[in-house]
Parts: sequence; C-alpha cells; structure tokens
Amino acid sequence: MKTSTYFMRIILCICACVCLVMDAVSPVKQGIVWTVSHNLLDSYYPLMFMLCGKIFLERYDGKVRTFYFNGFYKILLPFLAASMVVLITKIGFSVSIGFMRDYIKGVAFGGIEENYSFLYSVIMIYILAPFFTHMMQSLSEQEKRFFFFLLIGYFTFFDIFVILDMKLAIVGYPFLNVTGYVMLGYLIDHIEWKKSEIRMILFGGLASAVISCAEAVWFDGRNWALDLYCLTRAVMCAAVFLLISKMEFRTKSAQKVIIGLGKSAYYILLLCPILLRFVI
Amino acid sequence: MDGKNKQSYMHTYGLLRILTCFSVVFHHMISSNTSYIQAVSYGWIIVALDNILMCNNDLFFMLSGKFALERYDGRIWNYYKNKLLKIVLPMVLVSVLYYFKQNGFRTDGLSFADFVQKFFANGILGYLWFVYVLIGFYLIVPILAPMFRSMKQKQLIAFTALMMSAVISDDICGIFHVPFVFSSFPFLDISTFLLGYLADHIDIKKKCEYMIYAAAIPAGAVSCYMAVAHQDMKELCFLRALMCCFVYLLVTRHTTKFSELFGGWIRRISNQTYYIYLLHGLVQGFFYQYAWNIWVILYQLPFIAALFLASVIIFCMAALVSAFIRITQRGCKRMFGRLQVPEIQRSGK
Repeated sequence: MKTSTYFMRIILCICACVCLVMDAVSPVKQGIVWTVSHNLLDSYYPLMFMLCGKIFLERYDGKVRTFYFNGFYKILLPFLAASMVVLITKIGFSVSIGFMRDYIKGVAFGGIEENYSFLYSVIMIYILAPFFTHMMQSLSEQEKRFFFFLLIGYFTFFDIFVILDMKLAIVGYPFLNVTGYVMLGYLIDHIEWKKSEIRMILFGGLASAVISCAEAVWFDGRNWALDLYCLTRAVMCAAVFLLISKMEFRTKSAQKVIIGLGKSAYYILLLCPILLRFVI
Repeated sequence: MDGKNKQSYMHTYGLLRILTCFSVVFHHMISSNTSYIQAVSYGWIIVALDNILMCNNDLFFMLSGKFALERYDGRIWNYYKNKLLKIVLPMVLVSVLYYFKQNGFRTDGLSFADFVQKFFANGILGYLWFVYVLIGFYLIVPILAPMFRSMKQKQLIAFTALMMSAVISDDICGIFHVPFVFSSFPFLDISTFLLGYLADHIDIKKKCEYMIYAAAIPAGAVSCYMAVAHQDMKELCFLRALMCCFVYLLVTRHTTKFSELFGGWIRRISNQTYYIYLLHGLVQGFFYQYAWNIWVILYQLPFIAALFLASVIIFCMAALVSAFIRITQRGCKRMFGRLQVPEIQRSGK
C-alpha cells in the first residue's frame, strides 16, 4: 500500500473523530462556521468507502481463503471486540445467557453502537470484494471512464429528484448506495487521467465545496441528499481523493510515522465512540 | 448449439415470455375487480391463484436479465441507442397517449411540464413501474455483463449463494421487524434479474433441478397461505424466487417439443409481448367498461371472464401490433428506399 493511502486513513480518522465530537458536544447546529466545517468534515463518510474500494479491491489477489481470513482477523474480530466493550460499558459485564443474547442480538441487528453502522457496509464490501475486483478487472479504460461518469451522473440525477421533491421511479440501478462510492474510489485511482482532467476535477471539487457549504448554510433541509448522494459531495470527494492519492512523501522518517499511524487508524475509529462515552 | 437447437431453445424462452405476459394481463384483470373476489365464496382460490400469477414480474425480470447480460456486445453507445429505441421510446409514446386520455390536450405549456414531472416519477400509469426498474438495470448492464461473463462456475455458484443469503436475511429481518444491517448490498434489488442469468449459466444437474422443483411446491403453498391468511405480512422474496425458478426451469427445459410444434406462433406473439404489456391497460379499460359487466351479469363468472378476456387481449393485440409494425416497416422501406442513391451513381460511373 502506498504512503498516501495511509495518510488518507489518518486524515479520515481525524475527520471522523472531529465529526463525532462535534455531534456529541453540539447536536443542534450553531452558526455558519459550525455548519460549514461540519459539512466539509462530513465528507469523511463517502471518502472512507472510496478508500475501502481502493484498498479491498487492490488487496484481493485471487486467493479467496487468505483474503477472507485476513478480513476476519483485521476487520471482524476488532469490531466484535469493540462491540463487546461498548456493551459492557452500557450494561456491565456478566457471564450469563442474557448477556450473550444481548450481545449476539446487538451485533446481528446493529443495535449496540449507532456509530458502528458503517462497519456493516464495510464488512459487506469486503465480502463482495472478490466479485467487484473481477468486475473492475474485466473493464476496459473506456468502460472505466464510462462507469465513473455514470456513477456521478446517477448521483446528480437522484439529487435533482430530491431537490424537486419527486419520487425516483428508476430504481433498478444497484449503485445508489455506499457501493457507488466504493466503485468511485477504485476508478479514480485506476483511470489514466490527463493533467487537464486532474485540474478540472480539482477545480470542480473546490467549486462543489463552495456550493455545498452555501447550500448547507442558506438552504438547510431542502436537499436531504446533500451529505451523501449528490453531485457536489461526489465531486468534492473525488477531488480530495485524487489530491491525496497523488501526494508523495519522500523522507523516510515521515513515511514511517504515517504508515505507523495509518495502520492504527481503524482501531482508533473503533475506540473513538467508547472514549466519547467516557468523556461526555 | 446448432441452428435448429438454438431455434427451439429460443422458442422455449418465447413461450415463457408469452406465459408471463398472459399472467400479467390476467392478474390485472382479476385485481381490478376485488369487489367480486370478496363477494364470491371461492374468493380465496382466486387470491391464491393471483399470488402464483404474481411471479410474472419476477419472471419478466429474469428473462430481461438473462438476455440483457448475454446479448451485450461491448459497444456501449450502440447498446444504449438500441434500448432507447426499443424500450424507452415506445414507453414515452404510450405514456403520452395515456396522459392525454386522462387529462385531455392543453396548449398552454402546462401539460408538457406536468407530463414531464409525472413521467419521471411514474405518475402516469402505475403498472409501468416495471419498465422504470428495467431502465435502471439496463443502465448498469455494460458494467455487469463483463463481470458475469468472465466468472467461472465456482464463482457463479458462490455469487448466487451470497445473493440468496442476502435475500433470505432481508426476508427474516422483515418478518421480525428488525433492520437489515447489510441493506447496502447492491444486488438485492436486482437479484431476480441476475437470477435469470445465473439459472442459465450455472450447470444445474438433474438432481439439483428436481430439488428446486421439490422445494418450490411447499414454497408456493406457504406463499399462497400467507397471501390468503396474512396479507399484512411482508412478501417473502425467497419463496417467490423459488417459485420463479421452478417455472423458469420447467418451461425453458421441458417444453422443447411443444415449443417446436408451435414455433411460428410463439415467435410471432413473443416478439410483441413488450408492446402488449405497454398497451394492455388501455385495452383492458375498454373491456372492463363494456364487456366485463355484460359477462358477469349474464354468467356470474368473473374468474372465467378474466381468463377469457386476458387471452383475447393477448391474441388480438399481438395481431394488431405485428400488423402495425409490418405496415410501418414497409412504409419506411418504401420511403427510405426511394431516398437511397443507387450504387452506380455513388461510385460515379
């Protein structure tokens, strides 16, 4: 994995933690600065799935068992352990059938910690990664570009319907969910962009950030898809993803620090809600 | 597969398309007369039968998924152009027709804006929801087709197992009214489309095929029981998927001789099923307005009336649509044939 990927993990982890703290401290929106910063930091969520797309789909090398085994002890086990800790902080520990029932029920239906809901999507993406890898590897450069614009286009199409308060009838499209961002993450990294295209995406990202913030401040509640499935969010995330993935860290000491911190980002993210529970 | 085998293979799918189209029309004939169903003593039989007929949507999806994923040839824009001409354009025309039938024609520009708004939100004709879902799926076919084609047998089986376990989990969560945590599984909504392709491309052995048949019978019984006794419960997609697989495999694998015998008829009617589907509401409205009441007053048999009228709609509309297509094709040939510059003139000789 490249150093820039670890760096992105750190940035996303920080953004996620700041967002969680902001939500916990001040759940009601306060002023323009709060709204703008929260709106920008909220990009961590789609970016996290984009990063998942890049990491998981690149990691799979055809060996299914090894791939799933790695996922089991790197993603699932820490999640199960963190869920157990959260449950203990909530109801206390006891060696009883009731406790185990609560634990299994909580893990199976996502009721233990609200902030862990994204992990179910991550697990699902991990399970599907061999198939997605197959899909992406069988696409030509032209098809990859087409898919990229289809994903962005469909988000836009959906957002227009939300803004106009209309029901979207075209529902057989499978990527109007977080997997859309998973695909986007992989595609951004694997399409051979020209320099002019990179510049356009970065400029588009900047413009999207301005529009998105303006929307959040002056048209609050009008566009409920603003956080996730809309053109501005998708372009903004694409720009940030592209920008960070093109970063290079030349000094070895910087690389070491970034890789070390990046590796523990997932565990920090798991522990953050538990720490928040103690602090607040 | 040689020419003859391929033809009979296509005829079996044609037969399935006709059966599916028939059950759509029949279902709509029955469901538009719920007062009769409630009134008659054998109403529960009609409800149970209607529940089995409801497999029609999924069977259509299975057929669409199979053909869309199989026939995509790698040319994206050509593919979309074809779909636009064959699927979207007729749908728009039918929607315009229905819209003006319902609202009348206005020249103040309001009707156009209203039409566009209703068209995109499926507010003109309820049963066209099927086509909207189809369009959503067709959008992604150029991406999914290469994936499925490059998959090996083991991968196809693993994918089917994964997809069906997601469907079953979603059903179980629905029964117990608990959230399905893996709801972002992208293939949940298009599982029936993919099932059509998978059912044909996985080497299902005879033993396994009979096991599916054996499982589908109790699945059908449970589904019918739920439709009659527990209408408030969530519709179980897994049971329906089993029922659909039963019909799909039975018709496509065991009706070869029958399909060969009536090959010509099957081909002619099955080519028009999409147009029959689009237009059947209009014709059904006409029948319902004039023929239905007379029949029921005379014979008191709404069920037989629905069966008879559905058959009449299918045959008459197939004949009308194919005649219309033939006439317009001839007209186009004549018009554009005249416009074509002869080969000798083009080469300058």
